[in-house]
Amino acid sequence: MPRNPALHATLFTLLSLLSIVGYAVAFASLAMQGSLATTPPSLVLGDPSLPPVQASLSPSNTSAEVVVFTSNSQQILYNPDFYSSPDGWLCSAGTNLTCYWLPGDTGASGGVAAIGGVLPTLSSDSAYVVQEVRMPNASLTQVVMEARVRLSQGIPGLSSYIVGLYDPVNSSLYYTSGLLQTGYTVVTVNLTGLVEPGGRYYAVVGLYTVSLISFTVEMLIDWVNLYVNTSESTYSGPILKINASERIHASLLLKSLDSPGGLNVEITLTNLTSTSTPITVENSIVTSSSTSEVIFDVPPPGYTSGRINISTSKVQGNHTLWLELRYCTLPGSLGPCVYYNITLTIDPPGALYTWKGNPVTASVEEASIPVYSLTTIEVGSGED
Amino acid sequence: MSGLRLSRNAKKLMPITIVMFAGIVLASVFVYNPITGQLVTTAPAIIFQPGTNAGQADLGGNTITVSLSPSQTSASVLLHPTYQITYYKDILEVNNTDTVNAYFILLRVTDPLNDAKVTQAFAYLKDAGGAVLATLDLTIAGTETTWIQIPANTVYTLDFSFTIADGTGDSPGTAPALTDTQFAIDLIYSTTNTEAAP
Repeated sequence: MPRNPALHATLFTLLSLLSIVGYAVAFASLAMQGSLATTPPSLVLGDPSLPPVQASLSPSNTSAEVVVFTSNSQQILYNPDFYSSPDGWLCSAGTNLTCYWLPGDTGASGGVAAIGGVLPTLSSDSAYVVQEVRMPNASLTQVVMEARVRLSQGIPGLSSYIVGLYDPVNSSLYYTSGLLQTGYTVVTVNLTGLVEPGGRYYAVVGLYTVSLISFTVEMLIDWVNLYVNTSESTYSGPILKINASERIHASLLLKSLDSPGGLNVEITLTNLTSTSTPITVENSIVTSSSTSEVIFDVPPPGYTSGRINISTSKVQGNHTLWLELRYCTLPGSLGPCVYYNITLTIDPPGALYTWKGNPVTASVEEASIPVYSLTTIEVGSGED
Repeated sequence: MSGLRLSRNAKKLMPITIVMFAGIVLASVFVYNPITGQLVTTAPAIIFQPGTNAGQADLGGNTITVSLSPSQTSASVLLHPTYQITYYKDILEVNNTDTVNAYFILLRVTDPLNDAKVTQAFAYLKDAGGAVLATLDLTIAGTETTWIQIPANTVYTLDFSFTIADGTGDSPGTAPALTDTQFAIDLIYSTTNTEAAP
């Protein structure tokens, strides 16, 4: 074969270049060492101990399986009997009257909420213990509120109870009132037709008093119930308690849903004073899959940092929702974030729920009830 | 017949002479062709830098700690995860400081997290837009990503996530008890992606 110098040179050059590309490779490396120092969870879940809710928690209380049983009749206030703490209740204080919690009273079951203070001469004042409630989003066939109250200090004839629902949208208080007795009296107010399905209200139990001379007044509240009957099967209330050991920023995400249809549910996060925007499912279609962010702080004595609440109405069948509770050390999902799995089943077939009863001991010796800036309650509007 | 007659002395010297000749025949020859090597060091093209969450609040009142060597070619990270999934975003960043040349980078686990309670542990290499470019399983020794090109003058971020299971003996007030708390990664970079990294 005749030698072609030009071809030979070209081949040599190409082979040389390929050789350089193939073998002239430099590698450099950077080293990273990681260390883990584990820490206890900053947020733990808790069982709300309500008859329609069964909560199974993991050993570290960082994941949960919750079963909710809906019905056509329920009591929707959280911690209605103040048995071991004032958890869930806030104070709308007056000028001289404020709220607190006592671990017991003669004739009462467990702890009691109290409203009291020293009134100056020729004055009047009022204060309330309040709890935000969400009405089931179904036709409300009956809404009745009851409270067991008494006057423990003060001058009979000058102090009145107020029991009812406050509507923050139109600043109306639907209530009943009367003179306080020194012995416990059960007060009942029928609110049927006055509240809207799905509406947010404040259950209030208050003390109104006038003074001709300065004196100390105290009203005790043994329990408060808000019974709601609905045309459909519903549940409105907490499914889990939340306790934080440091300030964290949390939100809730609906990851998936298994529903045969007909499910309406709103799920919110609530801390002591505020509520997130909801996760919303309408007729088994997810219309909002996450809540807004809520801050959870270390709670005051006798309180939990917050709760996961649901309000649901359904036609039939059982439904399962897979939720993820996310919390971070900084707002806006910054800092490290922790994810907990929560499985929520509504009305599983064949399951029965059992009443777990109240804890037998008080959790705190005495507690104040945090003052909430609900200062626009005015006696005189609504039902009398 | 005339023959070679050796004197008595010559006979005595014969073995010594034979050994000397044998030594000459077996001697090696060494030739020295000089090779001169010269190192011209260069600044590292790829360096580590702290992520936006370095120094920020970690869980339990702790701090996310990121320490770098003076040349920023090695880093140590201290994190404080808890039960379930703890996700750390933008802890460490990979910076191609070369304003002209792109490089190829690869992550390799040199010391895995080997603890039964750590059911999952990952490092995520992300671009500036948050897209995941590579995922590295921190529980498997020697596992590595493919070569990822990092353009000139570009910063990528490293996220970490740890899934720690809870079980018998765990409680809300205690930290997860791990027997292995250390892991290590090498970031290898090269001008080309045609060769397997050594």
